[in-house]
Amino acid sequence: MTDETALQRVKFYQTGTHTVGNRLMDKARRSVQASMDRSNAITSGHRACQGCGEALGARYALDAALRASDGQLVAVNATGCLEVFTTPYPETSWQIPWLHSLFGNAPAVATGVAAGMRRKGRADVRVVAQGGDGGTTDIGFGCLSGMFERNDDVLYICYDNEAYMNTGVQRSSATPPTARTATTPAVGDAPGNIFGTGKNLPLIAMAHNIPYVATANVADLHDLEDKVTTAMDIRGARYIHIMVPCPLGWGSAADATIHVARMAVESGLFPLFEAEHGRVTRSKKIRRRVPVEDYLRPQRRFAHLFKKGQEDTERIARLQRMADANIERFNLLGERETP
Amino acid sequence: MMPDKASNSASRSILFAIVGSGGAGALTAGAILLEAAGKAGWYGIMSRSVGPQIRGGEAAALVRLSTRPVDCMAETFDFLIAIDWRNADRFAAEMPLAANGLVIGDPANGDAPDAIVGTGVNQAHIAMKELAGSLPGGRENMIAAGLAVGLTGLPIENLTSVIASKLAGKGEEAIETGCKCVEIGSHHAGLLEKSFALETPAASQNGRWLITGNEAVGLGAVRGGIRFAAAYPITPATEVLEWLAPALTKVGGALVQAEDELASINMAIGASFGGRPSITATSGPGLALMVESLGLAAAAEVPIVVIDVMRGGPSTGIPTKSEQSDLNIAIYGCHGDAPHLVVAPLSVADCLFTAQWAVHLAEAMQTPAIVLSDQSLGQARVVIEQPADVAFIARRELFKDAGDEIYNRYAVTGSGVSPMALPGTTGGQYTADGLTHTVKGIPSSKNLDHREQLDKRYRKIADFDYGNHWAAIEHNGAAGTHEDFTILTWGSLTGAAREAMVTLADDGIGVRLVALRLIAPFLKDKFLAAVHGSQRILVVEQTHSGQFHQYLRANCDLPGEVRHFHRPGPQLIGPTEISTQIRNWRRS
Repeated sequence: MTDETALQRVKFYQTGTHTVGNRLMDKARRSVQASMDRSNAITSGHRACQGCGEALGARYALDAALRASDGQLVAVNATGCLEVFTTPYPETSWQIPWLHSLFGNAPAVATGVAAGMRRKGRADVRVVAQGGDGGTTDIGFGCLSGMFERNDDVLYICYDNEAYMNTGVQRSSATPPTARTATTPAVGDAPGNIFGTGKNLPLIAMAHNIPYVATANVADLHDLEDKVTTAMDIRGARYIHIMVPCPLGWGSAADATIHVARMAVESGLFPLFEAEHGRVTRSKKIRRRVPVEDYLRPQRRFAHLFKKGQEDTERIARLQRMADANIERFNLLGERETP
Repeated sequence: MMPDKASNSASRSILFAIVGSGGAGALTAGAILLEAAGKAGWYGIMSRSVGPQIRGGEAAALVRLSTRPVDCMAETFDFLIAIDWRNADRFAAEMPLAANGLVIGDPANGDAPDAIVGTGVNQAHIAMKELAGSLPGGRENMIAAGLAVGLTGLPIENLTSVIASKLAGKGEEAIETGCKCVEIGSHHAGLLEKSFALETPAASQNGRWLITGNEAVGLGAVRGGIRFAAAYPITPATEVLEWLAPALTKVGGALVQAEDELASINMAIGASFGGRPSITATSGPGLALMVESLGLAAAAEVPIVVIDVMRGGPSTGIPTKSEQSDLNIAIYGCHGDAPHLVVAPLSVADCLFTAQWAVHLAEAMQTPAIVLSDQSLGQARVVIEQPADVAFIARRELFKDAGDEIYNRYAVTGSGVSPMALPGTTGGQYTADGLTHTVKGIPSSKNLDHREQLDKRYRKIADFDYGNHWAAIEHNGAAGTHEDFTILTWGSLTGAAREAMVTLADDGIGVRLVALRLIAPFLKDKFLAAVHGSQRILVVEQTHSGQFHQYLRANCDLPGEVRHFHRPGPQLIGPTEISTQIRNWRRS
């Protein structure tokens, strides 16, 4: 893969970021968060853990949706970390109408909210439903598929931290192979989560032929905002799958959240793409390809793969093959002309 | 194992809390103190007051140590050690201090909030942060643990040996620092003018266990013969599946983490149909989802055990706090007439017995059994006498290949239990069905078939011999044979009721206790015999609407005068409240 000696470490202000780069950007392209009079769907003071990817992702996603809907936004939230840490007794972080449904029914409740608003002649009020990977890929999957199939006018956002973090890190069907969780301990012949499991929900969403599906990642917040804005311009069922690292569950450092998220993209394990009506229309190219080890190593949930003297080269290679397949499938290196 | 007779003495116990913001280590400090107390020969119970399991928010370890076995928390705290005061308002109401109680705070964090101190409470300042900071790697929670050692008279060597085993993986230096912190804390406690020292403990006869209710339920299930579990994470039941996953592997069983509760209960039904005693564990919201399948298991006569670790409801409710309000759904949840079993453990230790018994009952009667534990049992950690082994194991009546005999899966038998053929039994093929069916299992809408099968399923449960395990019937021995009062309760409140009885006995007030372990079916004759002659009955339960009281009233006419003491969670009904109810009634 990368030859360390061949690549010089160059530090420069990235024009796509939200720090200094915002000032270098065209005004229309600046982040919602860069504006002095930005809205703030989720205010500070919530109880997310240090370095929580979900808190970051949700704030950027919701604020972008709030801007796109001109402040006319209702959010429905499945049970999960986001719901819990934003509403600790006796406080709430939500500055918009917000409805906590149950664990498995957020898509259906959101469908109802959208239908209710339309019936009242208030179709200008837009509806976002959101949940974690457990609430989306496991218990809420049936309702979500129904929402897609009917093409209900809801944007569903899944914040994927790849396990049930709120209840103490149990595996979900979005947990990657070999990852250690409370219910997939790193013991035995095949330590951690087994291969061959896991739902690729973006692809499943695409199979419903809904108008818009996208994946995003907190390492590129501008891309995330763009995708939310694009989704809000469309009517019908839309799905955005956002990868949000969880320092607690992944065993990564709290200050490494963005790094880990970026490594997921740069290794090819988490492809960033958009799809319309079931066809991939655009994928974000890998800027500097890295081996999967660079993504796996900073996370203790994969530590058993890197035991001193007995590296699990076989399973690491399998994960690398998954990344390679993504790179090929979504043209992440830009080797083909079409996406 | 039957739980001990009422033998708690409040005067020989102390209750304290260690609080801090999440991550400060309050829970760790409480846990090692409890374990050390067990090693020293004391008994104890620890519960925790926390938000959901993500970090942040408040965390408090509530620890009660006693010279006698304890099944519940006491109501007023002797002392409280605050590593910091962040979020103190959240738990203040849960930790009322005794009038001569002591609050220890770190001067760096200012005075204790008014909500904590109230009136007449002693305050002390100990610079835990600074003391911990004097040692490289020193931690405030270990200083706090040391303070508790000094105040309770817990032999320090018991605590240091626990620290040594807990920190074994972290190296000598970490152990040494931890122990040093404890010494410093203990020394500073000695400088305070207060002490809450417990009596020297009696030596343990059979060795003691340190266990939580959720672990005990899992152990009871495995001992009863459970070899397959399917479950979905839900607070406060998740520890059951986390405990069962490795335990089942060791005994040749398996656990599957399902994609939701519908899948988990139906996997259990499938595995049981295949001949494996099976279980699932959940809490109220999950039980609500499982209800349709409970009906299927009842109709198709497939034994399963469902553990419900109750939390505040309805809906998402209060996931981390206790309530007894799933009683109605457990009894009445199914549509149609679907007789099934509902049992409830009477203490943390009894979680083992009751879960094991439930497996035995479900398998013997080929029907679903719901075990109503709750958060106050499931997530409490206790030091108990090693429980005796009990003989209840899964024994399902099976159909054996009998040559030319025609097999009727749902044959109408005297007991109501029909021999079950496992898949692969020659001549034993049948259709298991949730549709009303004939004796062969073939769907039928005939009046006779419906009646016959409903009668059979009712009979097998109503006529079963439950022995003496259906309830704990106790008397506090006061006032000779003349009984003044009877307490009727169930499940986790039994501990508080037992303790109330002890203090009432000291005042010569005779109290009988009837605590139901078997909730459904309701054994009317046995129950009426148990409460026979009661003049004043106090029904005690942790629900808002009085579900247990209504259930009793619906099933029998209670003798004498009846009063009802009930309250929803999360504040647990405590022993003093129960005894006060009875004292006031006596005076009126």
